[in-house]
Amino acid sequence: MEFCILLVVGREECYGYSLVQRLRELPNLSLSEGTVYPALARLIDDGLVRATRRPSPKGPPRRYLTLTAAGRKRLREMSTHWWSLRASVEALMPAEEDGDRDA
Amino acid sequence: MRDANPVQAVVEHYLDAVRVHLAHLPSQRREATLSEIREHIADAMRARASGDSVTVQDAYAALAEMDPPEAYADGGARLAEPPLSRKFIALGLLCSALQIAGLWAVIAAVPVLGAVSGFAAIVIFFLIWSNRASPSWLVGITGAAAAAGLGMIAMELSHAL
Repeated sequence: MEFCILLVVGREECYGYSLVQRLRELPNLSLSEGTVYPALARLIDDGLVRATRRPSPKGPPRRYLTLTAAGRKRLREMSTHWWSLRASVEALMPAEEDGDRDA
Repeated sequence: MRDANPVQAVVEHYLDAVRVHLAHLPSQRREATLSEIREHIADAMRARASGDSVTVQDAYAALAEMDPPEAYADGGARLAEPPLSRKFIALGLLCSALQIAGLWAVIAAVPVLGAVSGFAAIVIFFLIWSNRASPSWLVGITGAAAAAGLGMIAMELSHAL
């Protein structure tokens, strides 16, 4: 979850509501307000995400989220770990058979 | 404004329930979380409102699509850290090596080197201790090395005085 939040914040400018909406769109992650907001507050507390209130093009002023230098570093570390983990799991996967591919 | 009060009451009722489930968090983080949720609800209500004003029905509809208050209870739990990098493990080993070098420096009567290596051991311990992913065994080893480093600095100071 922490990884997903850092990925979204690192990729596009967002605020709390848009962050949750973006994460909710993704199937299988099961991320919603109850998990995202406490984790987001922790990331801000840990200095990985910065929240800055400023005027919004639509609606009232919002707390916009950006990654700090420490947040970008953590995101790089987590990405490296993710690709390494994915490669290891894929190495364990059986080779795809013709029948499965056709199905 | 008359319509705003019932809407506010509905929102505050939800936030009060969430607050109960965030009681385990430090107060500053709890209030920051509640502030984010409050803004989320305001955005969700605006997204549903047909005009400029938000109705109680908008508030109930927005809250109905959100998690129940009890869902926030475990959301702030600390997650697993990424594994410690080799750089930090190397720092830990370097810390111990520096201490051995420092002891030899003392034996060889080169006081400055002993103090410098002791200081370096303390700095490296701090770097490892401040990294949340550091395993306890590494913190323990480097902590012991730092304590030895502190002793070495004290020894050099007493010799100097």
